[in-house]
Amino acid sequence: MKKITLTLVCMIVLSSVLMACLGAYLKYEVLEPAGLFQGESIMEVPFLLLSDSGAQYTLEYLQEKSEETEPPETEPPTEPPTEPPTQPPTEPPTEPPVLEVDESWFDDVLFIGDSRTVGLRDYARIGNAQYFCSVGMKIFDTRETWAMDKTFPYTTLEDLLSERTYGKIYISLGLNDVGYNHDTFAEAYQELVDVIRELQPDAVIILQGMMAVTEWKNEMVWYFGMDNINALNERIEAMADGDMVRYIDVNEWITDEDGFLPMELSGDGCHLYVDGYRAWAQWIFDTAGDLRIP
Amino acid sequence: MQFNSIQFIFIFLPLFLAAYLVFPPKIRNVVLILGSLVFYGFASAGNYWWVAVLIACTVMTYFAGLSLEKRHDKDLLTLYLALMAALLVFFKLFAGGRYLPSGMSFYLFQMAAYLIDTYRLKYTPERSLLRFGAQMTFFPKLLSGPLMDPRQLQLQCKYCEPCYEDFHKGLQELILGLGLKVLLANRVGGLWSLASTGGYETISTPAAWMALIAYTMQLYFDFYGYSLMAMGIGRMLGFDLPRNFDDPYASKTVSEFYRRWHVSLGLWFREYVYFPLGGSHRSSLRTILNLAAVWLFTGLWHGVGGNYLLWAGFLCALIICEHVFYGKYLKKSRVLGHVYTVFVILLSWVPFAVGDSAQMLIFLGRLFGIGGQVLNPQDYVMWGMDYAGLLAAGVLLATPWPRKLWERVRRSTAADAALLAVFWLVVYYIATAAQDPFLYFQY
Repeated sequence: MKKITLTLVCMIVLSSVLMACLGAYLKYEVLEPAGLFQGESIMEVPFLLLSDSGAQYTLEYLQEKSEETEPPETEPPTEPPTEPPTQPPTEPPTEPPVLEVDESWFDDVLFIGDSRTVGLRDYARIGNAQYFCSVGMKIFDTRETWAMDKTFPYTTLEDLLSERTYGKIYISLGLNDVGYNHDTFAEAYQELVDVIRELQPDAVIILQGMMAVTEWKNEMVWYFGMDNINALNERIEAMADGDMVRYIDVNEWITDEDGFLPMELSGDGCHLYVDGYRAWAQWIFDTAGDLRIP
Repeated sequence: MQFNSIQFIFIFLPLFLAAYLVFPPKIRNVVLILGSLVFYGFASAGNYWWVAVLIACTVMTYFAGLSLEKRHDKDLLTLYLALMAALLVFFKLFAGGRYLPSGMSFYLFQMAAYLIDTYRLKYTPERSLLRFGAQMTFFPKLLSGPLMDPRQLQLQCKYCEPCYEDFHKGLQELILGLGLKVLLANRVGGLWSLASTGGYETISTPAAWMALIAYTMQLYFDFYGYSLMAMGIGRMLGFDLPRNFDDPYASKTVSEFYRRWHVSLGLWFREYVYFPLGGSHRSSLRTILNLAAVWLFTGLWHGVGGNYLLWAGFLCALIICEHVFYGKYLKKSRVLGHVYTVFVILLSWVPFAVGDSAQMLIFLGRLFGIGGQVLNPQDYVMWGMDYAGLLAAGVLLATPWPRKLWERVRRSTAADAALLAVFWLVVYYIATAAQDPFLYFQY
């Protein structure tokens, strides 16, 4: 009896000790140079790394970087380089749209995005547009994420893009990745754009800047702060070439005078109420003509 | 600090257990009190005055007990109970929300039970302040029960002796409880959040039922899991805490459901409210009034909002109807009773889940296909894809069979290996969910 009695206790204690050792090694040897998870306990670190594709990506990225450059020092790029923004790809709003857009314009549109796009999909569909979106989707694992829509069964993005042809692809991602190093963020985002371009060479990719959060949310955690979001949006904007990759920013239209998402549009500071999704969809519809894509 | 936190599992509990088992039994009560106060200090999330309130209540109850022994006076008891009630009402009404000391309604009820039983001469009141303090602040049951028969608590505190067999069983219960809370309750709750964020008027009727079932499961497995953890930790220390949930969803009537749901609170109300009022031994009308009184108190105990009174009123009406009209037929039935109970219990959670009355009406309307503007009639298919596994596990675990099966296999090495896997899966979910500012939210 006693032998059996001790089994579970022993297994728990032993595995905990091993896990603590693994966690300590990962935290202080592997992750410290990358500045990842330094605020977390050693028991959590192995699981955080396991679950966090962004962190894994960051590690690989830093490793490649250190192999490329002579000094093995890792660069601490916390602030994005303050290069002047390149030409704004969206036309100034005073100019009348060159193109009258009706619902059929959205027949060959695919929306890719996180939970906010799920809101668009569920509450404010535009015409026959298709929606590849999933709650919690990250730029780091968009390609491996499974999703479904009423227009296609459960599938991955790569399979979907290999099977169908789209004319315009809207991307609204990043809010699940705002905690990462800006360079890593931009690198992963660019990689995603490149993959989509490769699979859909004829489609115009429309990058949406991350929508603002409310003032309350802004103050809650630093990475949801508008300073961080705006800086990352600049990085997204820099990927647009004004031709096959465009950039649009709903914040110019939706935010209040302080640059926050108005409180009356969102209950949790980030997701919209149904009316908010409808307004956003209407904005996408109204501004589609400005893009001058046939 | 909750039981399902990394700090509790990997720091507090091992240190406390080591101290508890290493120090000689004589000073165990000191270890228990210190451990409980440290635990409560962490649970207070910075409101360290909660610890002072707990200590003050404990010391005052100790002296109140001694004074009741000296002077067997009903007025004195009434005075003490009124003071406790005033304290609880004060904190519930005015401190509200964040500042209401965690577990206060539980520990004050435990103390009230102690004083009433002292007055009823069920035992001699505790002489040792240390032993009394250990009983009242006992951390496994401090925050959410179970409430205990004071006599039992006194005896166990005096004579309990931890042993390997109990330690092992307790650890198993702790892990099972963690699994129910972290792997099932917290995750299935995500479905309810999904339904709430978009606005109730927009969801389809099947989705509304799915969301309500998810909420029901979250509530049940959260509390059931917590109670199992409390029982398990208690057992590891050599205590035998009562079972708080006895497969309530296998009941055939609502009155049976509430004999099996949060059992220790039900017993408390029976012992200290229902029986003193005369229970069911007087006229039928009196029984009905007594039931109404018990449910009024139960509603108030859960919260001061009108929605809790609505919840209690609805259940009380059903229990009275069962008592007077159709209860006996349900008990005899094979299927009907189960269907009826699950159906009305699901409905009864609506005021719990949706506090606001206008929203509540909208949600009720959606349940029965009335009103609303459904935006995506297929929403339940999408949700079903993501939550089918959890919902199925929840339904299965709400039946008595898994527990019966577990009793038969729990001594095997395979059971231990399975629990080890559950344990690390739990840690995985705790570690990765902690990153998330909202437990149930992702973007």
